[in-house]
Amino acid sequence: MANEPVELRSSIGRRTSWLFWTSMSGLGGLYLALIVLLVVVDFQYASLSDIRTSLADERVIFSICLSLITCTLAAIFSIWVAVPTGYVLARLGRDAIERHLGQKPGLNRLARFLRQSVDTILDIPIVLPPLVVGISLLVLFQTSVGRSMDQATQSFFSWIGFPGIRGITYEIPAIVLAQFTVAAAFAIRTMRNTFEQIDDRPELVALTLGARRFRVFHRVALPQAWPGAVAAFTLAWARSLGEFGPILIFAGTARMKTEVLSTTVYLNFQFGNLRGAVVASLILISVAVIVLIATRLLLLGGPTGGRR
Amino acid sequence: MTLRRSPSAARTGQVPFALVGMLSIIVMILLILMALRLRPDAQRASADDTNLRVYCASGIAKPVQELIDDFNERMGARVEIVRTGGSGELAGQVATEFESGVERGADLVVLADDLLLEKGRDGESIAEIFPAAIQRPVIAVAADSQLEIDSLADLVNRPGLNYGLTSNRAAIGKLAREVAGRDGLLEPLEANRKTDAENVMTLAQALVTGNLDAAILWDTTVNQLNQANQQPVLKIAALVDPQDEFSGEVGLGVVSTTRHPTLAIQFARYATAPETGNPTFRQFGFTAQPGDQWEEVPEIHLYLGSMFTPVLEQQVREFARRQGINVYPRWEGCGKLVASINSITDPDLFPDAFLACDFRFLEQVQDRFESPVTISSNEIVMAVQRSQAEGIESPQDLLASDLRIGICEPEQSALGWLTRQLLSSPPYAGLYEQLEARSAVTVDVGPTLVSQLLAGGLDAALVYRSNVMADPQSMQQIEIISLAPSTHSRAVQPWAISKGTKNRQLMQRLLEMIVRSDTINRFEQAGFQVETPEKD
Repeated sequence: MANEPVELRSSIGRRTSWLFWTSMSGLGGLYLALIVLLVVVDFQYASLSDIRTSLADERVIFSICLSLITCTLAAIFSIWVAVPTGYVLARLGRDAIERHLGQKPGLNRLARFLRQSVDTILDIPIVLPPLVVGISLLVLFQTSVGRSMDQATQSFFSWIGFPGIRGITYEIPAIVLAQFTVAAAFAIRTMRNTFEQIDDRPELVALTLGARRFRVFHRVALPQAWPGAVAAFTLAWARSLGEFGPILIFAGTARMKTEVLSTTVYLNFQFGNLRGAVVASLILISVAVIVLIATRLLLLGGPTGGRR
Repeated sequence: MTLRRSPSAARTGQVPFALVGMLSIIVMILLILMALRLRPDAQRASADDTNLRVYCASGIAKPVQELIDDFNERMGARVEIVRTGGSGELAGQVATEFESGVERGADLVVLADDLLLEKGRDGESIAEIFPAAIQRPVIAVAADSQLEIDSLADLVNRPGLNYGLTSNRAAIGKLAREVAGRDGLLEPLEANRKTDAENVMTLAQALVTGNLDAAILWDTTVNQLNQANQQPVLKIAALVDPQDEFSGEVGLGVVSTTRHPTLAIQFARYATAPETGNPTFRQFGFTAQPGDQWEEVPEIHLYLGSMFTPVLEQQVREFARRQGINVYPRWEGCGKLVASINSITDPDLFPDAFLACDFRFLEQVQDRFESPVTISSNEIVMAVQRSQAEGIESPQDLLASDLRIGICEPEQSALGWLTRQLLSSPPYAGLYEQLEARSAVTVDVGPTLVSQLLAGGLDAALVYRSNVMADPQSMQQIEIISLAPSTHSRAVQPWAISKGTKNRQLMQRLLEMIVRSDTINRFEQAGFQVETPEKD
């Protein structure tokens, strides 16, 4: 008898727990079902022989290879930029401003305004319509600075034995730059969040013990941010793979030249080859899934490695 | 004191980050080399020097791609489609590239809307236009559909019908709305449509996948999709405009900033020639518009009155260079040119076009030329040595003094003929015989008289204003004295294309060059009055 209320509570608890988890995962489940359905109907639309035929097509092979290469390059560039930028933004945040300039209201307000401005500017590529990024890049490379960079790039490629790459615009470097412009913004945001969540006291302690800033960053902050860096890399990579608008405008859609998987989908669709477009989409999805899983396994050492 | 590490730090702390950084740089270098190795053309210095970049409207991309493949194989050229999309979208990009000064943008653009090309030419982003084919708007349904739609009115007024048309930015959408506007159906067309796709191919795919019951497409899009699939996927239910008043004109536009104008024009000629381009367009269901006969390097013969030499000689040379053609111009007095036209027996030597000094000369051979276009007019003036000019106000004054006078021969030149007419009718009636009797010299063309004035051999001459103004330095020595206005005091210059020419479009482009603003400026600087070109 004495146990009855406990059992009742336990039974009610189990029921409400079941209800809780079902209702909470219901909406997510719907979204999951939508994604699975999208992939399933794509597979239904295209037969295996279609996929085999596509994979034997040198143009598809070219676009797969170029996609993998440019996405990886864009992701590496993004990480190189995102890690220091994210660290600076995290460590020079509101707390740091309060700590250092708390007694000087004018400077405090100015520093906070500057911090907000930098944050907003770095988020621009995320909120801009992709086509605008493409047009802006195109216009940028028509300025004297842009033309000089174009010229320098052409000279560099010519010097290393590839004179056919005539600068940046409408060439492979344009793809990487278009992907990097957007992907880096996502990577920076991820790295900023990562560093913000890492307690800075160990770094301060290391500083008080006489360690230099670079050493503290390298030996204390960076090891703790490793899973975040992997997340930022995969996010940048995935974002680059799906990039289309800026590539369309800034790099063009020349077959076997600046053709990545997203442009293969577009070109097939535009040429009335819906089946080809669906097959290219499936290849895109498959490549993305394989690479994302492989990245997580390799860099984090196992399926749970990324959990923090 | 030792630092406490978080569990993840404990694990990852062993990662040598300097090594990771170095590795990432090595990986980047390797990836860049791999990307470059993917492109065989990257190692060739001339890869892009001869590349012609084409932007092509998606609905026309198939025949254009086939033509490009043929052309590249035949000519060893490197033409390639680098961008497809809706006509409006591509025209917009070309305009953006033109305005922002993009160096390696499009060289050639193929659009399904001739008005967009015209707009591009007005905005100076497009230099030459080549009409290629006609396509008609149709109401399309799925190949296995049981729907029977017999007209545009039926489509827009049938309740519950899922139909789509493209936005106004695509040529087909604009044209469908024009037809609907004419038939008073615009309001229901807009109100009942289910989608507003950006380009015709997107709309067609929506119909193929069953998202729509019907759609307004080009007849050629239906053909193209049926050819792209193993079995027909669409069929035409009805024509949008059975009266055939509205149709879409596919055209190629050479971008004004292209670095390869000659190659672009050569490909455009190939794509529109009856022997090469037309069959390919027909194969894809288009009604081809015949351009000029295909010749790798066309040869044209031009007859031009000598008065045009200072204005057009250089322009014609530049035109020939840009178009990649051989031009054989004859700059002579129009009497001689007419005599030559009448005596030519070899059709290959017959002039493809004639720019006459006056209508009178063209009229003598009009049966062999198409309707003329007025280009300019030129005023007859008295050109007098400045030292002798005092007191001379009219042709009578030339007789009153002891001046050495020069005139042109009336049978050999328009100037001579007009001079005779002018001085034989009021207010100068009866003066011609006296002046002819007093003239020290009678020549074929006006420039000769000006040369003699400059050399001091003549004191006065009756010439065209342009003869004197052709050389700005001659104005320092010669004074121009205007004559009283009369129907014969002005020569009007017509342009006419030969009826038998194989290069009608080429001649049309030459005319476009002649009436272009920079050439008009040259005409005006040379003393011509430029007429607004119109068919007479």
